[in-house]
Amino acid sequence: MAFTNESHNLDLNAVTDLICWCKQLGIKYITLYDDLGKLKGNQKDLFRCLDYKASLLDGNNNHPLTKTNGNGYTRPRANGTPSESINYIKGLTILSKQEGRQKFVRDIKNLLTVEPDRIDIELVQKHIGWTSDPEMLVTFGTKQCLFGFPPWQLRLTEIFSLPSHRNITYKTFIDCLEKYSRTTQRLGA
Amino acid sequence: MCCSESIAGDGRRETFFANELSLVKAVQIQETLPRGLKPELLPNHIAIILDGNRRWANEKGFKELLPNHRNGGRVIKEIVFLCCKWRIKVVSIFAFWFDPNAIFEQVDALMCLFEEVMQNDLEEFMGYNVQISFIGDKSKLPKSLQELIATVENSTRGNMGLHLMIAINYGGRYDVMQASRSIASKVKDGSLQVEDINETLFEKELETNCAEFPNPDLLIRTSGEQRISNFYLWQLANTEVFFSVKKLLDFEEEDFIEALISFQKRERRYGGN
Repeated sequence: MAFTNESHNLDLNAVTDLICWCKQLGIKYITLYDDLGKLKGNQKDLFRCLDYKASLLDGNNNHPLTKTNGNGYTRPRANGTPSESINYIKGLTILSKQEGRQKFVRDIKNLLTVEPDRIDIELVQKHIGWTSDPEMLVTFGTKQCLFGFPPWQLRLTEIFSLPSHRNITYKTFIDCLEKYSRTTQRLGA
Repeated sequence: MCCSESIAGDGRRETFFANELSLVKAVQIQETLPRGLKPELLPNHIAIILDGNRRWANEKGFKELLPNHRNGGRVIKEIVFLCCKWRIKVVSIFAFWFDPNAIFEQVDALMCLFEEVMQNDLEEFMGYNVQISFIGDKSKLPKSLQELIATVENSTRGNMGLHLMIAINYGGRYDVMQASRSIASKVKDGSLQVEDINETLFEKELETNCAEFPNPDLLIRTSGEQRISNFYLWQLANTEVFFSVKKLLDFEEEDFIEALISFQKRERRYGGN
């Protein structure tokens, strides 16, 4: 998921909703990207929020990190650390523009010890590739732009755009996944 | 906006006439532009992924694909000549790339058509002052097509109008790989130092470096599919993407204008810079 021109206006509550929905649907690998690196800079808050959501989803009202207010809603304590959310963090990667072309160039420098004629696509993939390329990319924001998302990985990725991640509903997200499920890859000419 | 050559030694007169010429050009372009488009907000480089011919043929019940590809060529020509009129600087067309899963007969027919188009339409492109370049791995193409490509490139090299880049047997990963290989060769022979390698230098090794504006401002893909399909992976980092639901043969001038208006409406921000 890429938060394109919404880096300045990230809603961690909505971001963690998206993570939880993905996990609940069995999606193993989630990559979050915002070009300005705000998510990376707010990882502690993100994980705290995720931990809270995880505890709600797992039905653990006695979670040590939560306390109830008068309305019966639980909220995390100020100095919480991720614990219950471990299943939601597994497979989660947070990236910024630094992991895009800049990192690619750094990785390519590692290839320079190899004979030039031996450099092929597989070798480049080994040096800079991820475990697997994303099958689907959802961009949030008014601009339909990749904003420096790591380039190599998007070869066959289906790209969907939503106007904003803020106030996103589960239905909107599911609609997106349904559109993805209807796509067909046709390779070649 | 480009500046005219000096017509006098006086710097202020040069600037005055350069601005006047730019203004005249802008007015001329504005007169030809459809309503809603502003000349100062037009993209310098438009990339187009051609898609949808096969599905169009299936929907209409046509068994032969070749006539559709031929008509597709006509659509592309119309778009290119519109871009010439509106002073777009670069247009990239993603023609095709070899894939092991592709049906050989279809690829063969497509290449024959390609030869036919290049032979028949070169004069028309020359009339529009279009410079044509071919990017991609041409070594696997038939000899006759390779020779034709060389002829077309040589014939149009001096043209100063729109630069048309045709990606034939091109892959984004292939382009990045060949750039990496080229850099490795230069480091090996000592003409390049490792510490000098950066994004800018890397971009100069990509096949798109032949263009004045190598990175597209706008990518249009026809047919409703929403993926890059191994086209310009590196070059599209900050490109606005427009996925049109129209298949190529249904893609008309009004659809192209819609893509341009959409581009102009979006505030452009290059990844936070």
